[in-house]
Amino acid sequence: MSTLPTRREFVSTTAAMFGGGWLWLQLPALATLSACARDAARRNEPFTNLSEAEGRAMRAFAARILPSGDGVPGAEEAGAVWFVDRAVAGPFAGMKEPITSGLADLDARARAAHSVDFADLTPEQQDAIMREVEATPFFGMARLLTLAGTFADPSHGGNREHAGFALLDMEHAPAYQPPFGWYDEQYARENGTAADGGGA
Amino acid sequence: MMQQRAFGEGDAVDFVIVGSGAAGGILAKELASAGHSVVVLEQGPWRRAQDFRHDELGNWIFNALLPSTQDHPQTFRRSAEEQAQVAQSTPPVLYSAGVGGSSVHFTANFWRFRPVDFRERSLLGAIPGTGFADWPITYEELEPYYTRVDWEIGVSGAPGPSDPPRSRPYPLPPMPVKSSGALLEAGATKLGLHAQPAPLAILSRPFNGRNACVHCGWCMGYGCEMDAKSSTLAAVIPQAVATGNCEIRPESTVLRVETDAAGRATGVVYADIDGTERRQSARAVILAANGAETPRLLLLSTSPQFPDGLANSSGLVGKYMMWNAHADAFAAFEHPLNEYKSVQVTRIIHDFYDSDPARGYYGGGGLDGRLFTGPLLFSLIGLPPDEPQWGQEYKNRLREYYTRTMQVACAGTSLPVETNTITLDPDVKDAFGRPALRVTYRDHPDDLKNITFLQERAREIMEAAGAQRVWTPPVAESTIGAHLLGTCRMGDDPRTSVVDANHRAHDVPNLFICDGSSFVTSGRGQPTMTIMALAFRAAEHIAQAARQNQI
Repeated sequence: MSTLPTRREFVSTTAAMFGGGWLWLQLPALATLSACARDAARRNEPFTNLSEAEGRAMRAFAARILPSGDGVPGAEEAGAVWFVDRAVAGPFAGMKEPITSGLADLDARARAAHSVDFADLTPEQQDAIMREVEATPFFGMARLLTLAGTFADPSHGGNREHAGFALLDMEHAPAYQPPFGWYDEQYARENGTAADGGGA
Repeated sequence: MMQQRAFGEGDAVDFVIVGSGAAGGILAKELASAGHSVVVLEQGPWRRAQDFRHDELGNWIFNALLPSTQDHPQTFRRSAEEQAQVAQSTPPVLYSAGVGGSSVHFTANFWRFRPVDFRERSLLGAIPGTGFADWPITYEELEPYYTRVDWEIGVSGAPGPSDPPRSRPYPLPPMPVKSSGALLEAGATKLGLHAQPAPLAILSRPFNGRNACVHCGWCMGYGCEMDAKSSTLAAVIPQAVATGNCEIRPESTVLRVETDAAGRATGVVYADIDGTERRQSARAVILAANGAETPRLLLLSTSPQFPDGLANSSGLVGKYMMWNAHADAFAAFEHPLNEYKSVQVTRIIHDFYDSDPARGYYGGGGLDGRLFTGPLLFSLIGLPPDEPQWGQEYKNRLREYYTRTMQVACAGTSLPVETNTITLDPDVKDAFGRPALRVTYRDHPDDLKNITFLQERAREIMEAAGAQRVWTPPVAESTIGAHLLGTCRMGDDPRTSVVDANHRAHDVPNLFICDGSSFVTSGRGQPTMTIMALAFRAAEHIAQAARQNQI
C-alpha cells in the first residue's frame, strides 16, 4: 500500500490560517536582513510544542525524507522541523498524538537495536528503521508535515529562505516575464513572436 | 471597505440576489446600473485583492477559500442505494465562498460554448436513460452576451480554427505562450491537430483601470492579488457598488425563500454574521447561489403550497447534475518548462469537441496544457507513481521533474442523468440547523469512455511532442465536482424544466434562477464564460420585465 497521501486523506481543519508574510511585501533588502537573523536563530531555537527528544527525532526523520549534503538544500535547510513544531499545535493538531507516538517509537527502535536515539544513528541505520515503519500512518503523516515544512509558504514557519523552492530548482520571484522555459523561448524564436506568444 | 449604499432592514428592495459569483455579480451590476435597488446576500466574506496570498498549504490543503466543512458539511454517495457519508476534507461539491464566488479561485479558462452545444439532442437524437435535451436558446441568441462578457470583464485571446462565430474581436491579445503551450502545439501539429491560444479571463494588458497579469503563476485555486483575473469581485462588483443602488452583504447565509398566499416570492430569510436571522424583502428574488446551493435553497423553501420545494412542480429541482468529466496525461521533457510561471493555460485543442457517433458513445471535449501542482502538491502527487517517495533518490527526482513536467488536462461532457442529484441529507445538519447538502453522483458510462478517449489522445500528443516520459493516472469515477451544472434546467415546458428561457421560474412569477443550474447540457468543460453570458442576458430580460411591471 502506498503511503502517499491523497488530497482526500489530508486532515482538514477550519482553524484560522496562520497570519504573516505576504511575499509581495518582502523587499529584497529586508528579506536578506531577516534571513540573517533567522539563520542565526535557527540552530538553537527551542521547540514550543514538541519535546526536545521529539524535536531531535523529527529533525532526523525529516532529513531522511529530503536529505542534505549534496549541495542542494533539504528539509534541514528549510527548517521543516520548526514548521512541524508549530503545525502540531495549529492546523495539524489532530496529528500531534500519532506524530509524537511515532517519534517515540523511532527512538525506541533505535535504542533496542543500537542503544542510542534515532537522531544519533548513521543515515544508513536511520533508513533501515524508516523502512520498518514506512507503511504506518505515522510515516505518512510525518512525511506530509516534512514536505509541507519544506515547500509550503514560509509564513507557516518552514521553507526558510525559500530553501524548498531552491531544492526544486525554481527561480523564486513574485512575478516573471517571458521567456518562461526552454520550449517557449524556442517557440518565440521560430515564430517570430515575443511577448504575445503568437496567434494574435 | 468601499463605500456602498446600505438598505435598512425594513426596506423592500427591487431585487434580492442570493450569491455574488459569476452570475450574481453580473446580475447585481446590470440591475443596479438599470436603476433598480439591489441587495446581494453572499455566504462568504468580502476579501480584497490584498487578502490573497500565494499559500499552497492554505488554499489547497486547508481549502481557505471554500466554505468550512465544519459549518457547511456535505455528504456524498454514488447512488441512492448507498448511505451518504460526510466528506471529511475536500467537499464533493467544490465552490469558493466569498464575494465573487468561484470566479475568484477559478483557473480562468474561458471557452465559449459552440452552436452544437445548444442543439445536440436534435442533431444526435435521444440518449436512453438520460435527460439529454436541446436548450431553449441558441448560440446565436447568446452570442451578443458572450461578447458583452469579453468587453465588460476583460478576456484575453485570439481567434482559432475551432472558434464559434463572434461579432467582435477579443478585447485583449492572448497571454504569452508558455512551454506547456508550445509543446501542446508541437505535438498537435505533428498529429494533424490544431492547437490555438487559450481564451482566458485574465488581463494581458491593463484594462478598465485594472492591472495586467504579472505572470506570478498562482491562478488555479487562488485569488488574484493584482485584480488581473476577471472575477466578478475584480471586474463588476465595484461597478455595481458604484451605482449607489447596490448593497453587497457578505457573511449572510440565506436560509429560505419566503412566499405569500398568492404563491409569489416576498423575500428571503438569512443568517447574518452573528447568526441572527434577518429578513430581506424584495419585489423579486434572484437565485445565483451555484448549481448546488441554488437547488438546495429551493428544496429548503417548502410551504403548504410548495410541499416538494419551491419551483419544483416538475420534480427536477436538484436533478440532472453535471460535473464535466476530467482526466490528465502527465509528461516530462528534456529541458525546463518552468510551468510554475505565469497563467496555467496558454494553448488548447478543440479538435475533439464534437461528439462522433462512430466512436460508439456520446461525448466530446477539449484539451489544454498546464501544470496545476505547485511545489507542495508536486512533492505529494507530482512524480510518476513508480518513483521513490522519500530519500535521496526522491529528492533527486523532485529536482529533475518539477521544472520539466506538464500535464494535458482533458475536460469532457457529462450527460444529464436524473439520479445525479443535490438533495437534503436526512441525518446531517449544518451549523444553521439546515439539512446538509447531499450529493449523489456517478458518471454516465459514456462520460468515462469519452474522457478515456481524450486521455489517450493527450498521451499521443505528448509523445509526439517528444516527451521523455508520459504517465496517465487511471480514469476514475468522479467524486468531486467544481462545475455545478444542470440542477434547475431551463426549458419551454414546465413539466420538463425549472426555469423558462429567460430564467423565470415556471411556478413562481417573481422568482428568477440564473447560474450553472440553468444549463441543459454540460458543454465541454469550462462553464464560467457561459454562466456570465447567461447572466447578462437574464439581467436584460429581468430589467425589461421590471419596467413592464411583470415581476
